[in-house]
Amino acid sequence: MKRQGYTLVEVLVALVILSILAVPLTYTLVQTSEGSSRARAIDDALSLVREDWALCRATNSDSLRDSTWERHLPSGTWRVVRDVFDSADRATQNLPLIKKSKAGLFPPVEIATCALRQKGETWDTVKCFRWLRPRWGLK
Amino acid sequence: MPFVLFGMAVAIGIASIAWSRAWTRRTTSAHAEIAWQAQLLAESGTACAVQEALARNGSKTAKDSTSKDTTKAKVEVRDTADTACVFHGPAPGAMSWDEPAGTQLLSIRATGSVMEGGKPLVAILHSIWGGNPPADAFAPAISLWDKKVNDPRIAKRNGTVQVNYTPAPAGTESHKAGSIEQFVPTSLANDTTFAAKRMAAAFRSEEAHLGGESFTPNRPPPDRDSLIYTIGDVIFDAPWAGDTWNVGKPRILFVEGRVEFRGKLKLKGWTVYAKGPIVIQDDAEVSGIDLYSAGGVQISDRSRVSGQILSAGQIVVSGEARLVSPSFTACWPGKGRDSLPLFSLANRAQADVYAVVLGGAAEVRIAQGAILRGVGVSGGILRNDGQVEGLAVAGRLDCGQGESNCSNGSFNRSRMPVDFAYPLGLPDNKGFRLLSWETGE
Repeated sequence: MKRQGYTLVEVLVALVILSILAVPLTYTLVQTSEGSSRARAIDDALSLVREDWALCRATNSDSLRDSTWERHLPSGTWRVVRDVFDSADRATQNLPLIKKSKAGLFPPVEIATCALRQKGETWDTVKCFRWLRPRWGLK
Repeated sequence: MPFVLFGMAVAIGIASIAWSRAWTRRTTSAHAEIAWQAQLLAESGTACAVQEALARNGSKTAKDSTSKDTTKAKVEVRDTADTACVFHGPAPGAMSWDEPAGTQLLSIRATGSVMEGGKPLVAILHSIWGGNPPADAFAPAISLWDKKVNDPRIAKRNGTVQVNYTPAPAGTESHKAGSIEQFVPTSLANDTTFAAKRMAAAFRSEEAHLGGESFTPNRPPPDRDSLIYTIGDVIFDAPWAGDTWNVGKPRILFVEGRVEFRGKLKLKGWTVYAKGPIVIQDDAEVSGIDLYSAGGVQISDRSRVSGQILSAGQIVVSGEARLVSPSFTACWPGKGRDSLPLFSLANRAQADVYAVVLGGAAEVRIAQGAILRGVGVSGGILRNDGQVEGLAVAGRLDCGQGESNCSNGSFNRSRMPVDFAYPLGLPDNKGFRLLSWETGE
């Protein structure tokens, strides 16, 4: 005898199985999407900070200043904020004024550059990098 | 029903693959980001090391290079705390650097480390820095302070300057006043004082191991940053045939006796302080080395050496040994009869080097068949029976007994390499030159 269709019980069991499997599937898809997005964001942040590092390298140490610049990328609008540890920062931390060593050298310049991505009205700090740059020039 | 389940399984499979790829990409991106920060820290460490070395020897910065003040730096080891090489904001990781023994060709190994998954990711940056002195002083082929220089025994033939011919060539400059000081790094005294103090402190430290040691491929040196041996010799004994023994990561070695590198071995970036002589022989390949010896240095056979060598007494390169660029050597009078300051290229030895020999009894000696490519500076005499491809600076040229057997070597200024590595501490140095740069993880 030819079967006419599924029984109500079979359909209900199938729906239960579907819903049980749909939960981890949805979770995995969301995680995948977020992971890719996060990886892309880190790559973009690294690329932008490297660009700022190259800019710093091409600038005379004594001319390095705090700066902010923006860039539109497929992943969104980015802002790169460079913070040079200067006299104002020293004053904030109650540190003495920067001065030459006995050998006539200034200590290296401390630079922090952060890449921020726009999220609506706010900016999300994706990555920050910090390094010291010598004050002497290269030939 | 089976189709529904099969479809779900396929969907989960695809999602899992996508998730895995996304996770891998995320891990790769995160690693790249951490590696970059570690690299920045290694660069920061390099900046600090150079800063510290310059503070130590009292060199002037590029901005100060126009200063006419060429007075010698004070011979003292300065407290460099005022150079403040630290992060004021939150430190992104750790950085460290090895203090170089000498500051003429700064060989710096700096590391930056950032934690990744509970383990440190370490970036290593090895760089060598040289100086940039004014060119004028290095233009002539021969610079002499000999009062008898007008007695011409020098001539130029076929583009080379040869001794024992007349008249004196246009490429020779005789100096009526001053001395060879403009060719001698002013910070050399600080380097030697620093090295001697550091060596004395090491031998007094608790890390010091009493007695010598012999290392072989089967018995390699301990995995510590610094190795200290008092009262005894340290031998690195590699096999003479077969594979070259790579001694391993750079260390700082302090030895109160003799140090010997022999056989087929490779040593890179080490710093060696020795009270006794240092011998490098056979097929030893020693690069980026920083040597300080109170008992002389012998480089022989087919060995190859590059780096900085500071030594009391004699530096002798013989056989078919090579001093490879970038290299700097300096020697000064040692203690005892056999410790007259001498830089000697014997047999068929070749040296691409800036060699300085200090003291009134100083001697630079180049044998027939040997080649000095670079600059040879002698406070006393220079005897050339081979070839000088670059600049010879001396009190006088040696003409042997009774001035009847003058050396017959050739001088050819034009063959000096245009990218020759000058030392950092020369008077009126105009800044720094990065000679080599190598990174690794």
